[in-house]
This record gives sequence, C-alpha cells and structure tokens, in this order.
Amino acid sequence: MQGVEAGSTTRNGMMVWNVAKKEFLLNVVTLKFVTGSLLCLALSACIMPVLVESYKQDFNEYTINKTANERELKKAKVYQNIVPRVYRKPSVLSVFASVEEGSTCSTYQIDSQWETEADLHQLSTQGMDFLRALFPVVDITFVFEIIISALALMLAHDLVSGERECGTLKLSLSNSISRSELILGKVIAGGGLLFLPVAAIYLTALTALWISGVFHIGRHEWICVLMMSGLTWLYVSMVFNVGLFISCLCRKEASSLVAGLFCWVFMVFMVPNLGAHWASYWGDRVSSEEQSLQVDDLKVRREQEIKGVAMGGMQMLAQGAYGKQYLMLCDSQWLISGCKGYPVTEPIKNRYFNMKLDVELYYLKKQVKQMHLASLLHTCSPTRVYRNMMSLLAGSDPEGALRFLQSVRAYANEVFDFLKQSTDHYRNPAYFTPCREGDFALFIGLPRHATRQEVVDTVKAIRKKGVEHFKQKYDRFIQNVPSLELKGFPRFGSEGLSVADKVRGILPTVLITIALNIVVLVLTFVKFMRYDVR
Amino acid sequence: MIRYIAQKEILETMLSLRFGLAVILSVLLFSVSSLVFITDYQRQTNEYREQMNHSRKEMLDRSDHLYELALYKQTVYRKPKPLSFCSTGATRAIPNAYRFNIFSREIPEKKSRPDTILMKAYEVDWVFIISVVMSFVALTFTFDRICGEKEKGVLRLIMSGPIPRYTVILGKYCGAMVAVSVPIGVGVLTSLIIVSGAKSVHFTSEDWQKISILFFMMLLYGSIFIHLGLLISARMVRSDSSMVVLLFLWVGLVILVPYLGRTVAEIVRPIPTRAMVLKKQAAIDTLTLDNAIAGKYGPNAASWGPSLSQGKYNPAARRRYFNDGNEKRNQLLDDYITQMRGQFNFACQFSRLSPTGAFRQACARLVGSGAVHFTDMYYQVRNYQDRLRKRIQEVDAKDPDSLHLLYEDRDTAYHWKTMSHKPIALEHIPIFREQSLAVGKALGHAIYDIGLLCVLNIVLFCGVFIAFVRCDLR
Repeated sequence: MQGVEAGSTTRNGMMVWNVAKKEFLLNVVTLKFVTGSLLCLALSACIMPVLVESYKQDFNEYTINKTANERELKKAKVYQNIVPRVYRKPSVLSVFASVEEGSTCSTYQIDSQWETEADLHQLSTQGMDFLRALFPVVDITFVFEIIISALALMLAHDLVSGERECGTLKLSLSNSISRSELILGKVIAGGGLLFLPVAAIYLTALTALWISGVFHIGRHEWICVLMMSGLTWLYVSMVFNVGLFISCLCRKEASSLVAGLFCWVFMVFMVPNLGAHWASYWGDRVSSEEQSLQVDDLKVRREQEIKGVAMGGMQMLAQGAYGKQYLMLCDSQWLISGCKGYPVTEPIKNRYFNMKLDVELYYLKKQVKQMHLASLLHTCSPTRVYRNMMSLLAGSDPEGALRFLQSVRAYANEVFDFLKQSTDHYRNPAYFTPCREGDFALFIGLPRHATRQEVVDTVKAIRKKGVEHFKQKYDRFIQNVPSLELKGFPRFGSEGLSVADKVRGILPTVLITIALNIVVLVLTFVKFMRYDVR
Repeated sequence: MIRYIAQKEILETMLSLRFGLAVILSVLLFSVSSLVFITDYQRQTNEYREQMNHSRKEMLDRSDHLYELALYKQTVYRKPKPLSFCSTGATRAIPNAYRFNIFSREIPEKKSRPDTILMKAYEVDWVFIISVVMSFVALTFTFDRICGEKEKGVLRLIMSGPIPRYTVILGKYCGAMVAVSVPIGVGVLTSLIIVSGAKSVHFTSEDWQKISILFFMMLLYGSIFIHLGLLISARMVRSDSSMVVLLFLWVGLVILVPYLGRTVAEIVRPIPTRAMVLKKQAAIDTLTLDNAIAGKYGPNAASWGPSLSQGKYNPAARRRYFNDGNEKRNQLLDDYITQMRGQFNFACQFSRLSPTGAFRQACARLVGSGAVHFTDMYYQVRNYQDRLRKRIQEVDAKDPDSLHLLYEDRDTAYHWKTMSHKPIALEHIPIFREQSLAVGKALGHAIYDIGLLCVLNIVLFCGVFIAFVRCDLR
C-alpha cells in the first residue's frame, strides 16, 4: 500500500513536471516572450552605461569632496575654523533603483556659526533641473516594473481561457491528470519562464558594471543584488498569478486580455500616482519656506542670546580653513575677553545648531510620514510596493535622507565634544587664535610686555604711514603658524543600512507579498476547480 | 454605408466590458484630479496674493529713500494658472520665485510649495489621463477590429456584399473614434463641472477657447492610437498577437521614448549643477575683488570709509568694480538658464519621436505651464528689471545731491550718497505684472506639435488604408 502511494505521488509529480515542461517550451518560443525579453535586454544594455556613468560621476565627486574636506581640516590653525563638511556616499546599487527625485540630502556642513540660508544642505535639495522634474528616471527597476510585468501578464492571460477556446484544455483534462496538477504545472512554468529574462537582465547589468570598471562591489552589495533579484522574481510572479487568476475568471481569451490589461494599467500607473496625489492632499503640508523661516528665527534668537557678550580689541585677521577668517594676531584685551566670552557663546551656538538640525529633521520626518501614508494606499499596487523595497535594498530610498541627517546630528555632537575637550571648554585661546600674550606687540616692533597705550599709539602711527611694508612680514608670519594636530578628531561615517537592517526593513512587506501571492494562487485553484472547460 | 458600419462598431464597442471599464476609469480619474486641483489652486492663489501684497508693502516701506528701493531684493512669484488641472507641466517641481533687484538676479527657487519626497511619475492631470490611460483604451477598442472579425469569419461575410474596402475601414475608424470620444468627453465634462463649480476658479473666455483647443488635441491624439490599433489589427492574423504587438508599441511610445528623452539629453547636452553655478558665482566675486585690489577698475576701488572728504576713496572705480561683478554673475545665470533650456528642448525634441511627447508639449505650451513658462517668466523678470532700473535712474538724475552712481553697495549708497536719498511716489514705481500668453500666441507656440499630430494621423491613416486594402480576408 505504501509502495502504491509512493508510486502515485511520483506519478503525480511527473505529471506536474510534464505540464510545466510543456507550458514552458510552448511559451518560450512565442512572439510575445521573445519580443518582450529582447526588448528588456536591449533597454537594459542601453541604459546601464548611462546609469553607471552617472554613478561614477557621483562617486568621483564624493571622493573629491571628501579629499577636499580632509585638506581643509589639515589647514586649520585654530579650533574655531574646524567646520567639517560631510558627504553621503553614493550607493553602487543605485543603478538598479535610482534615487527618487526630491529626496536627495547628500551633504552638510557642521558649522555652529551658520550665517547664510544657502548652506550646502539647501543647495543639494533645491534643484532647478527641469529634466529631473519632467522626465522621471529610467533604471533597471523601471524595466521590471513596466515591461517585464506586461510580459508576465501577456504570458498568463491565455493559459486557461485561451486553451479553453482552442479546445486543448478539454483534451488535457480528459486524461488522468487532476485540475490541481494542471494549474500547478502552469504556475511552475510561468515562474520558470519569467526567471529567464529576470536573470538575463541582472547579468547584463552586472556585466555592464564590471566592464565600466566599477569593482568596489563587496559582500554587502552582492547579498543585496541577490535579494533584489529574488524580490523581482517575486513581483513578476505575483503579476503572473494575477493574470492567471483573471484567465480563470473569463471564458474568452479576449476578455481575459482586456481585463488583465486594465488591471495592469491600474496597478502600474494609476495607483502609484493617485497614492502620491492623495497623500500630498491628505497628509500634512510640508513647506521648505516654513522651514527656512524657522531657521532664520533661530538665527535671530541666537544673535539675541549672545549679543551681550563683548569680545574685542586690536586684531589682525587671516584666511583660514574652509574659507573662514581667524585671529592671526590679537592684543591681550582680545585674549582675555575671548577666553571669557567663548565659553559662554559657543555652547549657545552649538545648542542652536542642534535646534536647526532638529527643525530640518522635523520637516524631513513629516515628508517621510507622507510617504508612509502613500504606502498605505500603494498596497493595492504591487508595482509601488516593489519599487519601495528595491529602493530600500539599493540604499536610494527617501528615508535614506532622514538617516543621513540623523547621522549628521550625532556627528555634530561628536565634533562639539572634541572641540570642548581640546580647548578646555573653549577657555583655551587656541580655540580662536594661535597667538600668545605679547605676540601682537612683537609683530609691530614693540617689546613683548609693552603697555596697551604704547601698542595703540604704534598702531595709529602704522596706519598713518600705510600698511604696505607690513605685507611681507604678515605673509611670512601666516606661513609660520602651524596647523593643528587634530589627534582623535572624529571622522564621519555614514555607510547606510546594514544587510540585517535592510532585511528587517523589507521582511514584513515580503511576507505580505508572499501571503498575497498565496491568496491569489488559492483563489486561482478554487476558480479553476469550478471552471467550465466546455 | 459608412454610417451603418460606424453604428454597428459603436454599438458593439459600447456593449462590451472594455467600454464600461473605460468610462468608469475616465470618470474616476478626471474627478479625482479635479478635486485635488481645486484645493491646491485655492491654497496657491491665497499664498500668491499674500506674497505679492507682502512684496508690495516692502517696496512701499522702502520708497522713502530711492537707494533703499534700488537695493531692495524683491521676489516675484509665478501666478497659479486656472488651467493647470489640464496640464500641470510638473509645476510643483519647477521654481516659482524670482528674486532680484535692479542690479542682480538670483537663481530662481521653489518657495511655498508643499515639498514632498513622494515619487510621482506624472501629475494626474488631463494630459496624463489622455496620454497614458486613454491611449491605452483606444488600443483596447481597436486591436481586434479587423483580425478579430477575420478570425470569426464576420469580415468575409461583410466583404462578400457590394461594399468597397475603404468604406469599411472608414466606418470602423469613425465608429472607434466615437466610442473613444465618449469616455474622454464624459471625463472632461465631469472635470469641467467640478472645477467650474468651485468658487476659487474663474475661467475667462480665453481659457474656454484653450480648453476647446485642448479637447480637439485630445481627439487628435486618441485618433493616432485608433489608427495604430487598426493598422496592427489589419496586419496580424490573430487578435492576441495584435494585442501583444500593440502593447509593446504602446509601452515604447508612451513610456519609453518620453522617459528616454532625459537620458539622451543628459548625455548629449550636459549642464552644470546648481552647486557648480554657485561656486562659479563665488569665484567671480573673488576674481573681481582681486581685480579691484590690483587696481583694474581704478585706484582704491576696493576700499571705502564713512566720509568721502578724506580724498582716499574713488566712487567711480567702486561702481565699476561692483557693476562688473554683477554683470558677470548675471551673465553666468543667463548662460545657465540658456543651457538648461537647450537641454530641455533637446529632450523635448527627442520625446517628439513619440506622439505622446508631441501631445504633452503642445498641451504645456497652450496652457502656459511647465519649463517653457518658467523660462518665459525669467525673461519677463529680466525685462522688468531693466524697466525698473531705467525708472530709478531717471528719478535719481533729478536729485542734485546724488552722485548718480548706481551700483549695489549699501554702505556707500548711505554714506557717500551715490544714489538719491529722496523719496519716490509709489505710483511712479513700475509693478511687475506677469503676462500670460494670448490664445493666438499660445497656439502659435503649440502649432508645431499640433501639426506633428496631424501629420501622424494622415500617415497612419494611409498606412491603415493600404494595409486593409491588401489584407487577406480568408
């Protein structure tokens, strides 16, 4: 008895395999499959060089900027001039799912004395690029979203209704094959068929990356690429299953085709756009002007708080790191007032800088909240869900901007802590000047311990004569001022999410997608069991 | 005979599932887009009014001293368009604020726009609905008009009667055209009822004319896809093969070619980023300062003090120094705008390979939205800037206490009186008024794209005619 059962199971398995093989071979040589696959491959081959070139440009710019920042740090002669710029590393996987327009926040400057609204952060997020606004990006995910999904639908729409019309469904079922085995065979064949173009496109993309000389693809990236290809296959399988289900609902091939195509237009175009539309309508308004006004207000309040702190005296300025001036030479009045004043003003400035970051984070969080609202609406569209997951794996999701800004906030505090520790809470004159007591007097030709009145009179006399003959001495003096050592200075590291975090991020959605897939399959099975094959 | 065939086609289509789906889809999409537009437009109009009033008030506050008015950086905003529900032209993403004074202009920015990081491939406006959804609907109505009837044997029966082939194909075309016009017409009517019923939206007679022309363009565009559907249907033997080919053609024409316009334009016409332009502007400042110190504009151009009586300063040289910097910066910005325009135009030219690209361009130009409007507004601002500068120069010339040296330096304007300190009456100050294109001119801009759509229609109709005349009906 057990042997008979085992034999029966094996025979059933063979039947499913035979059906799957038949469907696979039948469809792999059809016009629709060949045309669709070739179109996808050709498109991928054309767009990959452009995407890779764009990535290489971004990466080069990132490297140049990072090097320039290190160079500026080495030039710093006073701690006050240490206002590092931080940059977000572009992800090589962005060729698979490009950064969504409007979500770029890729650079920031840690400067507690921020003066102008047009700091680097604003620059990178405000674009005036019409092309980006009017022509959305074509990346590998786009090829899968639109073309492969259409192909999946075209393959699935006539698997049941088409065979019924030809009469072959009747013939197949008149043999000793159950309905469940038949439909299972079709599902397996569909999965196998769609695996081919998906794998071919990924191979083409990776080959294009390799040919272009992009070699810094580590273990993290390989795992992400594997996950992306798995997700892609899951997505196109879902579209295939939906097409198969529609085919089981219709008696005519033409009806299943039309119904399937309307569903496809609904899922691929309408729901993503309507979802975003509704989310921006129902969600909180997010305005960059409100943000700018709040930041300006913070600047005014900051100036009010530090207004009463008087610092000054005679000074000679020089150009330092990051284009900021510093006190090259100053008299004792400046030294004393600076050592008293900066411990009061700098913590205030640091606090307001953090508040500014908090304002920016708040607005970015509001935008992300809008995105989550849209995601709720997007659950009816596997296309949009798929795009979200691919963006997360590629590191080009909109929340990446939020994570970057959060890293910037944490880094800013590290920098402030370093400055505090290195300058004894800003009491050390090394914070604002490299000169020491008496250097100013020496520079203008007086003894080190000259009185203030003598210094004032000498400076007046120099001004009357003209300062041209001091220029050479001034230039020599600047060159001899040593740069700071900066031992233990924290470095910014924003490497994005780890693989584990990404998996955690996409896992709920993947599980829901798999569950939906199973639901659609079950419905297909149920419908096919009751399908009239005559 | 054409009438009978058309009637038969219309009835057949209207009684099918696809027609019902198309009408429901059309009504849903047009309603949603109109409802969202009304709220958005109301908010934009209120904001625009507030912004312009604020700007006017700021100018009034500064009219007590001519130099304050000259130095004041006012911001003008693009007026929200009542027809933007027809074609938004990605208005949300394009800068709407132009800040300038009589000496210099800044890079235009987006202000008071609800910023969003939500990805929207397109705004759901009329152009999107017609170019993406209705074109697809037109294909579903026609993909099996000929090959489907051939498969069933109906076509053979029809042609066995004394009906010339051109009558049949004309009848089919007219029937399909009427069938497609119904969901489009219902959708447009729904949208117009919703929008015109809103208190905040007022259409002028010019707007109604533009809407009529838009409707005609929609039918022209839909007609292209009807011809395409009939052509492929005539060439194919089976209806599912016809649908496959049409679907891929549709993806190529409606999605790929327009999208690829950007990629191609970025390769062929690269432009600097905004950050690079700002860096160049900063470099210009440094260069002009170095030149001033070196004495290129005259001695002591870079220095100033509160009193001219010391005889150490040179206002004329200082004016040359400042004006040179401003001219270079303005030129840089103009070049940037020109390059951007060139890149954008190239992308549009490329996208015209597809009727969708031509249709979108025609709609944007007719309605006055999108990038074309942005650059047009930029040039209007530039002209206004010249007019305002001339006016201020005229008023300044009448003041004997002024040195009549107009340049962008507040300190010297105040201390040295390089410009007049006398007040100016507000009615003498020219106000910026955005000029919308008249219907005739807008049509003139769009005529190339409309012509392209007409030519495509004619070419495709000839193709359909020839294909059907030579079609094997067995």
